[in-house]
Amino acid sequence: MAGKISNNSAVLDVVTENADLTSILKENNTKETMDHSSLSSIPSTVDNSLVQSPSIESFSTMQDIENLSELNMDENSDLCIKIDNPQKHWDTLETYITFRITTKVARIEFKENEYIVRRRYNDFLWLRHKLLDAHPFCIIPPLPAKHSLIGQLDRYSKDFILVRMKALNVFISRIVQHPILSCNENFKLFITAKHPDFNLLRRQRTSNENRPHQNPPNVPHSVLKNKHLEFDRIKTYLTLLTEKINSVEKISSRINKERVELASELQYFYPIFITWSATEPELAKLLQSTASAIEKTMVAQNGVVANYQATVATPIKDFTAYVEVVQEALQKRESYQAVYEHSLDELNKKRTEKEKLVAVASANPTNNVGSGFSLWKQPSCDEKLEKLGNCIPQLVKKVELNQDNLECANEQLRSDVERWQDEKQQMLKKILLEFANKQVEYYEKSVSAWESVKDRMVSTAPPPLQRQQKAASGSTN
Amino acid sequence: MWNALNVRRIRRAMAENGNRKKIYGESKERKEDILLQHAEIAVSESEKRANGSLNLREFYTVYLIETKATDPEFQNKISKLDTVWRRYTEFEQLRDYLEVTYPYVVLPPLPEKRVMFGWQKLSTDTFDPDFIDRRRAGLENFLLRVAAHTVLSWDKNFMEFLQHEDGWRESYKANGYLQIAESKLKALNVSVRLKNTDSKFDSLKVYSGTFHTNIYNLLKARSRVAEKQYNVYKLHANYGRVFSEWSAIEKDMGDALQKTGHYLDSLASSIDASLEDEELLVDQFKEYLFFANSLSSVCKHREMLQYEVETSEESVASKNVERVKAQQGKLGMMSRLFGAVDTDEVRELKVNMLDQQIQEGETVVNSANVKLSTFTDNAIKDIDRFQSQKVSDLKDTLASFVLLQLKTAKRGLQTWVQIRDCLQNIP
Repeated sequence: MAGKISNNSAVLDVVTENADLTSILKENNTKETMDHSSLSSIPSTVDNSLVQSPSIESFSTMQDIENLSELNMDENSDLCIKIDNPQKHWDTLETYITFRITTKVARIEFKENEYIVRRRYNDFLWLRHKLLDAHPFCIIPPLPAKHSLIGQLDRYSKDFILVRMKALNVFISRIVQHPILSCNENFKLFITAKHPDFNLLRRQRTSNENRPHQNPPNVPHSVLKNKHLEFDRIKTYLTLLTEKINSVEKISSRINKERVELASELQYFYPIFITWSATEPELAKLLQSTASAIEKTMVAQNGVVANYQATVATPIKDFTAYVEVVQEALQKRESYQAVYEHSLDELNKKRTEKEKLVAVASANPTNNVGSGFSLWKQPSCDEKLEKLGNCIPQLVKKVELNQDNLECANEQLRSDVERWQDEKQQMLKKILLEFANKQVEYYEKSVSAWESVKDRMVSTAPPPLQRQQKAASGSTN
Repeated sequence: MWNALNVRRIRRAMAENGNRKKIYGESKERKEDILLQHAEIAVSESEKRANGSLNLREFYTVYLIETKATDPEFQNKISKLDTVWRRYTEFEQLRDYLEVTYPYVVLPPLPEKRVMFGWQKLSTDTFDPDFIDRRRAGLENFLLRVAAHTVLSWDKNFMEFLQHEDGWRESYKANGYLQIAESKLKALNVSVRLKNTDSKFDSLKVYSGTFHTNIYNLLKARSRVAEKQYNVYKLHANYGRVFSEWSAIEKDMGDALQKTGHYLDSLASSIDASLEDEELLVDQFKEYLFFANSLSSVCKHREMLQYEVETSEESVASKNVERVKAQQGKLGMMSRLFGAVDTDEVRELKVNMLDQQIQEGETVVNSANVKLSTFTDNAIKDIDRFQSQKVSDLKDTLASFVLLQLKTAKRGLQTWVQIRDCLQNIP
């Protein structure tokens, strides 16, 4: 173990100190349980001692989220969850990050009022999968992307972890606000279960997972017989919306690039005023204050550029991911409709077959003996009818089941989409307002910088009378 | 395009009016008598003309100078209203003449011959209507400056220039000013080694160099900033289309999105006016960029005169040495080989000749010294005048620059606040 950790030489000492502790923790689950249960109501800082100290990039310097308004959460609601305090863990098999999840709850279904657990990203993936299974036509919020090799090269970098943590907070708060999802059993376990219990739960193969997928994969559902107008409209709207918002992002990104160049030109521009002021005693003050105003503007511009990712790019990406979830649900619904239509088709086909056979049988009652000339025995009309007699009721049941499923799906989806539409509007409003606010902030800074130069000009200008006299006596010719 | 050009012309005309009021107002305050107190000068129009045959057309632009006497008693010197058409080269000729005739004056510069610090919106084409209009304004400014100078404004040649289109051309040719100017100004470019340099003028020369560099760098950097600023603003127009398309598919948000799109469009177009106003200020800075050259020319002229003094003094000094030697009879090749060989007669002849030469030489030295000291006195006076005018003008220009930046920033702020308010209204 020491060998594996030796790459992080900077933390070698600390790690070896805790090495024993780790092994004890891992192997002795019961001990952990004991510790954890006694800790359930103790503030989280004690938690840290049981976990390995963080890597070179110390997370301990990260401020724990004290102020819940950061998460835009209502502290007075009956369920309030915050995610913070990332810590790195070393295992024999892997290293990973866990986050501390603090839940404050005042609901009857919960035994305690506060829970503190640690979860890792994969646990979130598990949760989402469970929610999808249980509520296939609810709109389950998306999770932040898995680590990709293209983007962040260091999945333990502070920035990456912070961004992920923020996204996980958003994920959880969306679930909290969802009337159905927040009551889901697995969700409850996710936020309350202690480490060993949760591990057991994770490893469980529930009957759900063994059940075959609800949609038979080989039903072609690219073309529906009856387009569902309402959902179709929603689908079209969402496609256009995604298109528009992506355009907005593209334009913003382009402008941002141009801003970077503008800021760099301003960097060269303002010092020239200062240089010039050195040889112009009477203009020096004015030149220097002009330089300072330009510098302030440049700094403000850099601020806008630096904020771009957090203010525009990431929120829009998150929004489009959320829209994608809705599109997926709509797609699923369509597959349900396809299944239903397909089974209905089948039933109708069989019924028509039956009717035909009945007609033939009644027309020629004696002509139902298979001809002795054929090499194989043709199934007789009666036999066929018998088969159909068995098959059709089964199909009817199947059609009814599919119809039920479809109608359930439609209902659930419709109501959740409606709920989501409100949320979506608020999200867009927030994104657009942030976008506008950043610009307002920038211009406010620029205005104030130039106002102060103007004020200084006015205060040092000689009063008008003096100026006239100056002009009159000015030239010495 | 026509519309945009005229808008720019009108805006420039408005700025000129303001400038003119200032110049005429200031001239009224002056104690000394200057032409501007009795007349008004304007370069009001431009026209494209062609020389040569149909195949070898050579185009050039002429400008209309209108001179109007504002002082009724002055009518004897200037007729009520004179109009002449002049091209840029004629202005150059006038200026060369003035430089050669009044070398101690920090001469007002002409507007640039070619576009400096061009960028996306500032065409470098000298036939571009914008460029021609800006040149017209610059030429007017030049004439006003000359007419506000106590010495220059009364120059006969200058008055001819304003009043008699052909008359001036003829007299210019007749006096051979072209050749004089060419030779004198060419001489200016030759660098001379001086024994004693005047520290004041030395530092003035250095100063004119730094002054030029500073303004040059400033204008260069500004044009790059302007380009980037222009790009940032113009890109916002792309939002307009997207927001308008987006508003079409929204119910509650449609109104806000539509309005936002319009505001962003207006933001994008607002930068045009700001940068046009800024170009007017750039022209004011450019004038002083060229003034730096005028200042350093004065220093060079003085160096030429100092050089004359020194060479003439040297010549007298060597004549004196010769005289001493002649006195001793040691002059000439023979005396060097064989010692003193001159007879008394010869010696006296030589000495007398040298005495005469020395006397002539000393007269030359005296006149050179007088020339130098008169020049120096006049130059110092004019440089002082120039410096205080420079401070006043650049203060105004910088102040205008600051106010322009403030105005642009305020407009941006107002637009974004409107956008934000609009978005707040989304239910």
